[in-house]
Amino acid sequence: MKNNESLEQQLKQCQFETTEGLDRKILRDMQVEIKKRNNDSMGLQADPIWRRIMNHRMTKYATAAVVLFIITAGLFSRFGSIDGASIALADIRAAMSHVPWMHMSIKGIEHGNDAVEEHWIRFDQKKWFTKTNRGKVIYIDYIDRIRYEHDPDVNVIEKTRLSNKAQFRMSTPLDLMEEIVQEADQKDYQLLIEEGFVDSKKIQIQTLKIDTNDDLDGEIELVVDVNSKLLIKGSSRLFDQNGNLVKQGDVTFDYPKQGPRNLYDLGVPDDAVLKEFDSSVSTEESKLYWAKVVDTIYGKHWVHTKDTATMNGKTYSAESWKHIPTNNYFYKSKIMPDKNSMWHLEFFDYTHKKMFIYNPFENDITIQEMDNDYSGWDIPVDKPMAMIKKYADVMEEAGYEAKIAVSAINRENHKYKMVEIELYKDNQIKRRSINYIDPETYLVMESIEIFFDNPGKRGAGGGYKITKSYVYPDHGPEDIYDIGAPRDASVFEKIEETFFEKYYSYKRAFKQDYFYLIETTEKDSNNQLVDIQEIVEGDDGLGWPSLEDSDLTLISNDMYANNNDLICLQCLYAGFKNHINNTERLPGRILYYIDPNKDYICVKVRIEQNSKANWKNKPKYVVSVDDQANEYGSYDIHEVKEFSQTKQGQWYPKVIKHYSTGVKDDYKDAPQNLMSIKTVLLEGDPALSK
Amino acid sequence: MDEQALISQYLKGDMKALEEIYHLYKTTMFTVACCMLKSHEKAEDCVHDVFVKFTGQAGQIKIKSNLKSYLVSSVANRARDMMRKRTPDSDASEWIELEEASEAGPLLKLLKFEETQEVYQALMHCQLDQREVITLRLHGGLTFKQIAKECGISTSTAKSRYRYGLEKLRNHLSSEATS
Repeated sequence: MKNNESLEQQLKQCQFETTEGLDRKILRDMQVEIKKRNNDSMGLQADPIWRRIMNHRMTKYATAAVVLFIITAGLFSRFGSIDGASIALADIRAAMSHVPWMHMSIKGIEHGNDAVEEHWIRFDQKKWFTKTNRGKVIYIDYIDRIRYEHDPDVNVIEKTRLSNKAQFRMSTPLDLMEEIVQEADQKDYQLLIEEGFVDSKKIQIQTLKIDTNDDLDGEIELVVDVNSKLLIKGSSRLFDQNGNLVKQGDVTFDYPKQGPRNLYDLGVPDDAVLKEFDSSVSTEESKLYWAKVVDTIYGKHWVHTKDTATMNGKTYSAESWKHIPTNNYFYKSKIMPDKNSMWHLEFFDYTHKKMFIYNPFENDITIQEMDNDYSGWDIPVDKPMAMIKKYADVMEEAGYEAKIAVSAINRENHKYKMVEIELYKDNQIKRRSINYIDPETYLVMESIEIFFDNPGKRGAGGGYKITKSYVYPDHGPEDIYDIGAPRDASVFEKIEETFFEKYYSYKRAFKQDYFYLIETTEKDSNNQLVDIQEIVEGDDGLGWPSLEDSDLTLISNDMYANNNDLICLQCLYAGFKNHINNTERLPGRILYYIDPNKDYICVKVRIEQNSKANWKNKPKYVVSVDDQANEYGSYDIHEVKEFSQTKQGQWYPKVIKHYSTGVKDDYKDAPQNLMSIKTVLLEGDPALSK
Repeated sequence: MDEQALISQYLKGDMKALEEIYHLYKTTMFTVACCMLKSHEKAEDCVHDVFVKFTGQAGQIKIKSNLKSYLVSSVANRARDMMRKRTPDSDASEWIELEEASEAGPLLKLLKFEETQEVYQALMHCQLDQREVITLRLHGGLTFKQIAKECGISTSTAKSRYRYGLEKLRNHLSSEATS
């Protein structure tokens, strides 16, 4: 467990830096604002398109490709042959249509990261192969109108029919391009033509400089073979206002005689499962099929899953049990694979609205209230269906789209129905869930869940893949011990949040100015007027002592508290030896008894110190005391013996007595001697005049 | 330039002073906005709006406390406004993020912890009112009294939110404890 101080330090260190782009934008807009303020009408407008190029995930790794596609697809054709001396797009297109294959290798560089994407295009047969930087292989046959896509994460080849909209042209992604082209009309361009030689080939370099009127400038460079009119190379660069290169993408072209014949030529394994969507199964039918699967699972008692995930070379294991009728949920996971056999355990008891969390490093179980809105973790099959059904409208409005499809596949000599559920936004897949279903029982037997680009914008990209296997037993665990929590683990119960709200509310209402405190000590029988602050802020006093210690835990089985309808809170503290003055504080614990029926006054405090206290089984609690010495300690009890109320009705402690055994070997059996009596008086009390 | 000189120059509409103020406090403000809004994109908008407005107000406002407190309070106010005016998109985005975090159970949560700053992730599990108090206190450097005034709550409530927020944080982090 992290103590407050170190946690606060960690939090302080957790800071987020603004990006250079944001700095530029804000400072620029501040400048505009200042100019406005000075009645200067000159204002600069942001350029959303170029900003989108900068930020768009699709262009993150292949800006060059997108920009080049724009050029080849339409931008140049708008201008025609800009200069009589330049090689026109029409010439380039004509030359390219005569080559057997065109191979493009696209390299994007951004923030020092490289990413490569390769394309093989056969113009006459309208075939297009792509291998992405993630290892995905796509083959589109525009004549037969079929698209194959191999996903290496699940080793499945998906075969789908091309939509009528899909045309063979180098113009993707369409939406973004359209916008850019529209924007382009409003921009200033400068075309530079240079000629030279490379490997004895005469080349022409066409450089298009785009002044975005923003803080970003674009430069697109095409290298064309003058004789063959074929593209040799292209690159795009984005610069900031200081001329620094922000992003770069390069494309090299070559024209091999042979290209890939099929997906396998590009490295797809022979054992990849071919999945062909049955065109006779509509989306509605797929939903109904999935609904039947979910219903079947909900007819069971228990779902037991075994989960594995691999990341950064480590394998994460987990296991879960869900009791369907109550939603109660058990979970065990090896949280740090390097530390073998350390299982972290959790039990979500929806019946009693409590969570039990076992921390193997502390060997303790924390019990805490479950928030009312806590939904917990449902079995994976719940959520995709819920997304499709319950949240469809919200998601649609937000631009999310869920797709569901059912197909039949053979996998490891078993026939399964496969239900695939995908979640998209901005044409980007966010999540894919593949569920293998026994066609006879309608039960999910295995699932693969892939989360793309998690953890979102802050992460380093990539995604997670979690595989699960399922069984449906009749019986499951009953408590956290059944899934492996040691019986000797310490148990701590957290305090409800509302407790502190009420506690401090009443404490604040206590107007100290109107109260006086008179104390009679054991040694001095004369009354002494002492500081009332002790009542309000005293650590071990009565009334409303400071309960700042975050190690406070609720003790729900304290007999005294239960018999007197009180709330019992416990605070443990470590022993301490001061080597300078050779004094020591024994390790101990404080029990606070709070009366919720009397404005949350603390009515009793019991302090036990013990030289060999071992409350949490942690050596640090006793490390500073001599463990060879005899056990010794003390009990101190402060108790409110009389209560009273102000005219406004607020309760306050009237008479407080302090008892102590003193520090001794036999303190557990020693009598408790009265040490002092404190009397709280309201202003105007006759006793004060005496 | 010391803070008083900065303020003085800012009030005259001096861009250099504004730039210096921006670079001095941008990290604090962006961190507070991120913690409150749980989104870098929204936090960028939030900080942008605050600074642009702050610029436009040069010469028209009085800064009662120190400049940092003023700017942190402004960013907190703007963040609250943005959360009140949630678009369906932001609602859904938040929901999707929550779903993504919870769907595959703690295993996904653990994987996420591996790749992101665990403390920040844990902080995101706290309720908004707790996150707000924690970030205003630790990143913004506001006193509990200032936070209470800012949030329209009592000082003791601010304290208890802070304490309970840390409690929740620790609870989430306990699953990541390494020793």
